[in-house]
Amino acid sequence: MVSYDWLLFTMMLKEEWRLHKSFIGGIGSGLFPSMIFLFSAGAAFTTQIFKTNISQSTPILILHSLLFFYGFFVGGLGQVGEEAMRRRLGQLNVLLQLPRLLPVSLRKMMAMFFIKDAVYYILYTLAPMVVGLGLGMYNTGLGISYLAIFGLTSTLTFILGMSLSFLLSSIYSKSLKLTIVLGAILVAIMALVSPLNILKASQLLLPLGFWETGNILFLIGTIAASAVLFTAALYTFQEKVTTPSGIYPPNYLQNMKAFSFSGSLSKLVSKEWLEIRRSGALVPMLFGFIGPLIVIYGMTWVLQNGLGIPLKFNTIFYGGFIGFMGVMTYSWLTNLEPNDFLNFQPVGIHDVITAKLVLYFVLVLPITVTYVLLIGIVTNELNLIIPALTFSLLNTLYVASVTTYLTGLWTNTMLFGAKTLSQFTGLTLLPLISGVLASFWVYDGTMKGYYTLAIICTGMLLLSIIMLRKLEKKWRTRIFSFTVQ
Amino acid sequence: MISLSTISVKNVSKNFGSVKALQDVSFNVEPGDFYGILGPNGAGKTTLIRIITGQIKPDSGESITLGIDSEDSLKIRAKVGIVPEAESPPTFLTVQETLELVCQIRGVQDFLKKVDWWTEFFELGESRNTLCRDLSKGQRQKVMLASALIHEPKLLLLDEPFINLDPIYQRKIREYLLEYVSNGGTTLLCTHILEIAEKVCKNIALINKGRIVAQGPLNELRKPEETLEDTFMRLVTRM
Repeated sequence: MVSYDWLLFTMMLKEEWRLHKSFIGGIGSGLFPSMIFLFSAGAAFTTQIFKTNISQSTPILILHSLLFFYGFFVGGLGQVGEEAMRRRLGQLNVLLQLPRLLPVSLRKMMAMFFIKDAVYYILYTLAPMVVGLGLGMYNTGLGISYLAIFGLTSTLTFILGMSLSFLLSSIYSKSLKLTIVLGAILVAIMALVSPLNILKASQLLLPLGFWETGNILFLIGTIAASAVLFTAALYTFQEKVTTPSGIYPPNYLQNMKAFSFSGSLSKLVSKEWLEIRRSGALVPMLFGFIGPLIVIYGMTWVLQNGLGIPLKFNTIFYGGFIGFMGVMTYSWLTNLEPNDFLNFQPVGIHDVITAKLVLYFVLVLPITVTYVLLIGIVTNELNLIIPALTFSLLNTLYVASVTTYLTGLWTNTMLFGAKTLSQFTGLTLLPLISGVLASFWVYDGTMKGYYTLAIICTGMLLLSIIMLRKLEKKWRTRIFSFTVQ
Repeated sequence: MISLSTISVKNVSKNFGSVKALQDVSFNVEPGDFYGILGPNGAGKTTLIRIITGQIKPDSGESITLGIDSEDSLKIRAKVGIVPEAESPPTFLTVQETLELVCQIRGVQDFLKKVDWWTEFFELGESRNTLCRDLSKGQRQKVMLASALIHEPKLLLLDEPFINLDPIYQRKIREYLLEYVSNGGTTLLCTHILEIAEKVCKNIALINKGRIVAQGPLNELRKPEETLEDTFMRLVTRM
């Protein structure tokens, strides 16, 4: 007999697949793993990522760090549980809401949801990536056992990131202050690795230790750490959603005045702002933007100073990544409210997208400018601040335009579609890579780097204008509901 | 040719995969009518209202509301008041802020007075600063109704509007709607609550399994000494 738990678990997997399919379409969803495979295989072949003139530990460090953060962003389930129980998913009904109807505990459902997400995303994204990279390994003669180990450490790293994120989001559902303190402690611990160089990366990211020493205890340690984090998250999670306490003085009209610079959009910007503030998303949203920027700085610092890679990462280089990282901030903005209510008002998707863009720029521009200025000052590259600012601001505008044009209000979901992902990658990576190359050329004694940057910036500006103008035509006829189209 | 009817639905069909949600549906709603679309669960009532408001496109046929093709959903939504089947006011806005938002979106004049009036009408005064997330289902439904009525539209499209309301408010809304229609407003009511439909509708269409099985003035469809429930059962179960 099939057990009830197994049935529920398989139903959750089906639900996840159908959710993707309902929005992206079956072909788009099905092609996504193939695309990941092709990307990673292509990267492995073209860069010979596992056998180059840089030491083998460098690509392993980078890949595992990225996988850890990927897991971290997948694993924020504490909020999802609360949203489901508070009926904040609009017309979308999911199995996670079962505890409202049946005698099954939310804790148990959250545990299943976590395992379901882990299995789903490992099969859907990690497995094709590992196999794709494996082809590259085969090309370099590293063999099947190397691939198996890489698959295992990648999976464990991903789950470690998920578990940590699950715990933080569970704590967050109880206490914002405690989450901030823990977040600060985590950043401080990461700083011990880079730039302080007191701890080794493998002492935090245990699977790296296995690559360095071959000691299986590092893998067992990863499994144990994940299990502890996962269990702690489950028991920290608020099983019962607290009684209503959301009483606020009216702020909507007051905020409209504050956002009057956005003209007729202020009526929607004010609503969006209240949603950010009252959902408690502001702090994690900003942390989700600033965190990766610090990580990028830390990783390049390790590559340049720790591992001695002969590359000069300058202010322009960092400026290029800011726009790219903004995708996550915009994605946060689209996850706060299903907006089903607006289906019955004369408001188009394009109006809400534009309002979100206004807030997006309000939030990220001060950080962008500060980040570029700080890096310019720290690296003593004051002469590069103006080109770096120009590049980063235009890249921010450009990536936001591409994201909104391609994904509208469903960034998280639509980027898991093969067609959208390939368009997004093509449109954003090309200027980013060109910009990074240009950043390396600015010190070669010619104007080549600056000219290249000028061309990239002009291109990004023109394409941004085109996409923003086409936003209304693209999204006007769509409705806000996720499932009913 | 511009239709003179407030709502004109012609030969509309809609499939969801293999499910035939609507099949060749046609009917007109004239100005000043209180028109009921009655049918059992899953008959296609909500799909029909979504097509009329332009939220989904029909596979074939056309729907014109207040002279506007359903292709232009935003224009239709600007002119009508809609109460959907599922109550879904903004999660993080309070009752008062939700009504203010609607007034700002719709450009309602003298909106502060209207917000006060509707808050009082629904006795939401004590909850006016409560987040919609934390309201009861009935209170959320009241917010949805107030949001649909506050701009005084010429046409109301109501999908099971009474479903979460207690008998006191069912009556209050029913009386308000009758007065609204007597003052020249038009109402399309989708419901399976026959007692309410019987009290308010002048004309009805009975819909079952995506097809209209009967339509016309309520009095003509009902045989002598037959209740609406009898009529409903006779017409719906004969299929």
